[in-house]
Amino acid sequence: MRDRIVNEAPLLGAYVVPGEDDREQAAAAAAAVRDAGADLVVTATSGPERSRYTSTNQAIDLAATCLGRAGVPSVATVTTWSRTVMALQAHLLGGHARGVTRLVCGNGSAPSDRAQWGDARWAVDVVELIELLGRLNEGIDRHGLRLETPTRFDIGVRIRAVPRLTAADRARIRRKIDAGAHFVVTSPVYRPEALEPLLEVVDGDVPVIATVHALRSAAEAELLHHELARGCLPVKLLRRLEHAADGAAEEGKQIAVEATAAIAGHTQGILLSRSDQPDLVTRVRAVLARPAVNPG
Amino acid sequence: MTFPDGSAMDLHQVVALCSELSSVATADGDLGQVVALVAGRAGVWAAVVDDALTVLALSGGPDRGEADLLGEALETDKEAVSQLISAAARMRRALSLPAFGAAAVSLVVAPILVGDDSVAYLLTAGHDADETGEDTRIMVTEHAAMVSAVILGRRRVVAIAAGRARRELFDGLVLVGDRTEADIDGWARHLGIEPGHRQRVLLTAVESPTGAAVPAVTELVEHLIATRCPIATVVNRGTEVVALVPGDDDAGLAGMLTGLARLCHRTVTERFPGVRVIAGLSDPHTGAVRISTSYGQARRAVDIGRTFPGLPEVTVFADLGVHRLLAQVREVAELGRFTRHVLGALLDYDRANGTGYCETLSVYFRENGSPQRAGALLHAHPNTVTYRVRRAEEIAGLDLGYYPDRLAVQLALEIRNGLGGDGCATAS
Repeated sequence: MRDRIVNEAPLLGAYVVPGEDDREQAAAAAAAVRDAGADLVVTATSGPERSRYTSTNQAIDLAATCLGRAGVPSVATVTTWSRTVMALQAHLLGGHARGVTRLVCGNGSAPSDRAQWGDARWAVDVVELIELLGRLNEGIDRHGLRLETPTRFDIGVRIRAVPRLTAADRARIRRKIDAGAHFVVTSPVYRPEALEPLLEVVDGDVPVIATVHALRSAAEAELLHHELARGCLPVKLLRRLEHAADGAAEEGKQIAVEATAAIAGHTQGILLSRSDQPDLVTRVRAVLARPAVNPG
Repeated sequence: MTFPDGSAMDLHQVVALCSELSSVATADGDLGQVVALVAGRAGVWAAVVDDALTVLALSGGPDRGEADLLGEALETDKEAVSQLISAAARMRRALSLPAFGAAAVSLVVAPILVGDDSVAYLLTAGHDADETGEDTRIMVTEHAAMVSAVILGRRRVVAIAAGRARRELFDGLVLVGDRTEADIDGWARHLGIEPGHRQRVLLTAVESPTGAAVPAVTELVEHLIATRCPIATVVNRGTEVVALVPGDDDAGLAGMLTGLARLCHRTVTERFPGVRVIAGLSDPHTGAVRISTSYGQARRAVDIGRTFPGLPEVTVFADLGVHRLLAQVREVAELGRFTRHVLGALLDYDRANGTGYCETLSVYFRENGSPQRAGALLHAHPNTVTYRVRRAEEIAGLDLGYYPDRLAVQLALEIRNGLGGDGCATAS
């Protein structure tokens, strides 16, 4: 991942969101976005089943499938929600054995169905996960015992990009990076102002890859406008989608391309939130025609 | 870890299972008991396999009548399971192979560690639709692997002692002369060999780049032969593994042992790059008194295979032909010099021009001078073969119609092909 960022900037990727029980579909989607110009795919943890099952294990399995069957460089999302260090280590080493060495770490969030899943529990948080991965890379396991062969994980961390960060937010971001993250993947960015505070905290220490989401309707935009932190998704974008009426999906893609053009120069790569839009991949690739950041 | 009815193991059940597993080790139980306990108590499929995915112990499923999901996974997803096992051996830790979708099977692999070696692997498979029991399964699998290590470690101590005794008996049988036939029959019986049987010897020698013995490789070869050919008497002699195999079907036994030797060669090459395996197979002989003859032939076949790396990976004594004589030449370089003396000009021409005149001549002679059959093998027209042979004569300055020239060329080609690669590359 790090070598790709340095040598092949600007990086372009897309999230593969798992469909129900369909690995082949995911591998085909990965191949389609690769053919459209993407450098890699990131397998997401939240599929339609939205259960504990559609989490770390599935993301690792999908990444191994996209890598093995479609030959597409793959990054797996790993979350710590409801997992012990013992299980995480077994899954990570199992994924490593299958070639899944690029990871994006996060805490994850529990499904809202508390009756079924109970209260959300975190035995370890993302900082501890990054530290675990760092130790595995040094050849030391969760008990502090030496591994015969060190791992070679590329460690990414998922961080929210919002227009205003409190002092506590900034400290938390620094903890994640200082724990040993090699790169940062942001939450969806709709306007450059939402990215600036995060870039300020990162201060060039590690590459930042921004996620871009193509809004599909005015209703979705309105929901996100209220759900996300203030200022993440401005009203003017909501209005553009409303005016587009039946053409809202196309307008959403156009907004995504514009957002990419606006933020590409400040990041080392772009991740599209979905892999089911190869045409958008091609359009974004065109915007990223020259290196976003000078590697030197 | 989820039972068929969907419930997960509670803490008391986990403690009880771990305690029962420990008692299997203290009560001198076997691997079958371990996997049966894990499967029965934890609601999963369980097995112990070796590096080659040979199943050493396999449980039934958690639910009677349900398909053998672990067996299917071993069969259909062999590559992924092999990757996992290989990584588990390297990491010496439990790993998991996650499943996709609620109906799929997820695997946990824990290496069974005896000393410095991963001698086998304990696998569990389960649906774990929501993975609520994954921690429990990983823990139980690790514990069962540890118990299996105690069992296998104990067996290994016994096996080492038995192996040493077997090796000494075998050495006495094949290396010590001046014994009566009755003595030899008695020694053979001690080794479990019926004295009147017809038998062949397969000798598999192991060579490391440093020249040092590689116990892990000879043990792997010993294991591969012993598990696939239970009628064989197998003796690990440190740098070589000797298998004495009875059988009256000469051709059938030769075919089976050649296949077995190729499997050993392939498996070792994949797992231990740089380590060379040379196998030699004796002629068939009848009676215990001829065992030393069989061993001697297999030994010579290996020595010849070592001298001529271009020969097939399994050297069959009966097929050696002229190489038996060539191998008597003490200085291998002299063979190279002879070849260059005869074919030097042609070898240089082939190398400089990318032509394959030596290859054409080899195939032409092996096909008894038939341009038609040689052409079929070389995918060339018979006239082309005839032209190439004539051209080769011109370049080499030889006349293949003249007996001494033809014999010299045939010998030189056998040496070149046997030495392989650059054995005759340069004049020296």
